[in-house]
Amino acid sequence: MSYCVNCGVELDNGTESCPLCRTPVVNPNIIKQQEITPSFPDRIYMPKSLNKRFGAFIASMVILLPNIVCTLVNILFYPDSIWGWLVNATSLLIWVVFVSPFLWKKTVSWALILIDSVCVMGYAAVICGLTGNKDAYFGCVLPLIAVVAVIVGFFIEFKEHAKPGWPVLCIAAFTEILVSSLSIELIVRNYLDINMLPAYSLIISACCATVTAFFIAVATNKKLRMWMDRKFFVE
Amino acid sequence: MTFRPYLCIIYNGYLRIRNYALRKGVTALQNKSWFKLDNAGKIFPGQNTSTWSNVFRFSVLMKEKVKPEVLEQALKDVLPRFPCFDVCMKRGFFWYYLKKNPHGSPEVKPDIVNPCYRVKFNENRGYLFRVYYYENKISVDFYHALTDGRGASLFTCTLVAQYLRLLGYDIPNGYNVLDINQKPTAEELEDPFPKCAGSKAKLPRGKKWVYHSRGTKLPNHMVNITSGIIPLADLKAVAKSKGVTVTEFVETVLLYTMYLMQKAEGGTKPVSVQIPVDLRNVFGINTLRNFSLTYNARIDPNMGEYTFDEVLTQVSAYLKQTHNEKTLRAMTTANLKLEQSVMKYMPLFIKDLGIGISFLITGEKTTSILGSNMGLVKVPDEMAQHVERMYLMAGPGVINGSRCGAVGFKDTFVLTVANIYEESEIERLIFTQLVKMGLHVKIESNRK
Repeated sequence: MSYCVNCGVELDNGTESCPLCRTPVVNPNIIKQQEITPSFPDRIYMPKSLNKRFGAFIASMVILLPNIVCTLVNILFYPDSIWGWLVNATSLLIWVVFVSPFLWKKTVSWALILIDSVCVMGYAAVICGLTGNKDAYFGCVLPLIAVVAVIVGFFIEFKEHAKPGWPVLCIAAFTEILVSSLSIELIVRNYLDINMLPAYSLIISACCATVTAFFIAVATNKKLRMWMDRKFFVE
Repeated sequence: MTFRPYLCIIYNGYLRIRNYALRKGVTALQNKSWFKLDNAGKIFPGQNTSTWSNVFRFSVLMKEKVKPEVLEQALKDVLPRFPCFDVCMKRGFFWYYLKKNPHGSPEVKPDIVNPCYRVKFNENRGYLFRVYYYENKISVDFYHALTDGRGASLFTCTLVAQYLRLLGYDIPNGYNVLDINQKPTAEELEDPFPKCAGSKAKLPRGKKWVYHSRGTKLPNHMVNITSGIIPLADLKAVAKSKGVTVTEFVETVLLYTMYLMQKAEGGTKPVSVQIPVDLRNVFGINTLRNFSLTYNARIDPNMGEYTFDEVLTQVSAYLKQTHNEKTLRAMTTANLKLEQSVMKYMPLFIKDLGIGISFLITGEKTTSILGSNMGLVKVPDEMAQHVERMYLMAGPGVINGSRCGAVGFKDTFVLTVANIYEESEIERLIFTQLVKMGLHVKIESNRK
């Protein structure tokens, strides 16, 4: 008969540590060679999970079929038009963003964001190429997509790896809104070749900076955080 | 005086016709190829996900090692007595329904360390309960759409009684052991809830969000189980010394544990304990289906600091005030109103979606912990001498760190905590509180 010296509860013979507090159990009266049957079995049963890859394969086939039909119709009946390209590009974008992640055995956030960004860039290139806006693509669209991808990627990586509390997460989110609004305005101004001094993004930045300062105060002041918890919990 | 013989003849004739009609009705029910889900059970299939189902476990610890082949035969013998368990789940256009299972009986399997994992309707030969054995223990995992704790205890005790009979022991029927040669009554198989509705008042469930413990979540389908074995007479004596019942005392221990957990974290949200209540005793209906409702006892730490005795007074007063036929009738009426609203005309996939989303948003948000006390389970003396004790394990929650089940048998009371977190702080607080009150607690756990 063994007892936990910390919790005061009786334990199964042969228990090495208390299941409640992890205090090691030392009982010289228990003979180690004695065969002791544990209260619970060792066998684990892991139920089969849904076959997401098979579902993704079916979805891929469903997306592929209308594309083949559209491409054939385009080539055979409207050889002068290239509307089939638009259908293919749109389908590819949908497939990469919504279906392909389920085909991977293991997904990594930054890799998904990179692939999605490249695909969005490609889609924008098709649209700009068809409409003849090559300058707009390289001067504005491409940098905008790159900036947004970097900011979103940084936020997701930070959230996954640093596992911050909600005040720090809010600080990160509002700082990123501030940075992205400034970047977007500067890219647009550069493309339009106008004065590089930011204007409307300054209003957004000022609002974000104020909110960020408030959340910094919440993150550093325990009393304020408790007051927020008490005042704003959702009923 | 001269009319008495004629009256007797008429009355006997009436009894014969009534008995014949009842027999016919019962046979019709027993041979019924499908059942509607009861009012409480209708909600559970909608809550099912690929990682969670509402499952609970009832176990019986025998004095001798279990023989699986005998248990398998006992299960086959017992199942016809419980036609509402001999079913599989099917999808209708508007509702799920239970169809008679053609497979005979489920497989009896060696026990696992992670019981109460999710239910999939096409697994386990379609059965909604799973039977396990390990050394001296016989365990049955029940999907809650099938029955509640009381139905589970009736089924498991009848199964164990038949198992002992096959081993050569003479076990009579009585208490929780049903006669397997008797036909089930209509009352046992029908949805009992509509009979108890009809109140002009409707008491909906609480909607206030409360505190939930946090921790490092275990992988999907895994659960930490810790059982505390306590001498029943000592527990009764402690509860009596405080002027409350065992249920009130145990629920207070659970509520006070959650209060202490939040206090250590520095929060001030309300804390509540969900208390399932068996309606059979209140309404006098002996059903094998679900027939329970839940109370929610709560305290608000914003009102100030609480001592254990203050919480005990509050829980005891709440239960004394709430536990009556009128309140339960009003709660049942509110539950049925939802089922009989415009919702009943919606196709099943919309209902599933609605129930799933509603459960995600509000399902466990109104309770910090669940404490289901089945009370004392009685079996005939001839059977009791082969049984060591019984266990009731509430299935793991989604956001409720711990859910507890308790059952008394002979002179022991077993409180089992199912925890979805790696940390064991909740269990430690629960059982050390009992130790501090002078109770002897023996711990069994699947934690390594």
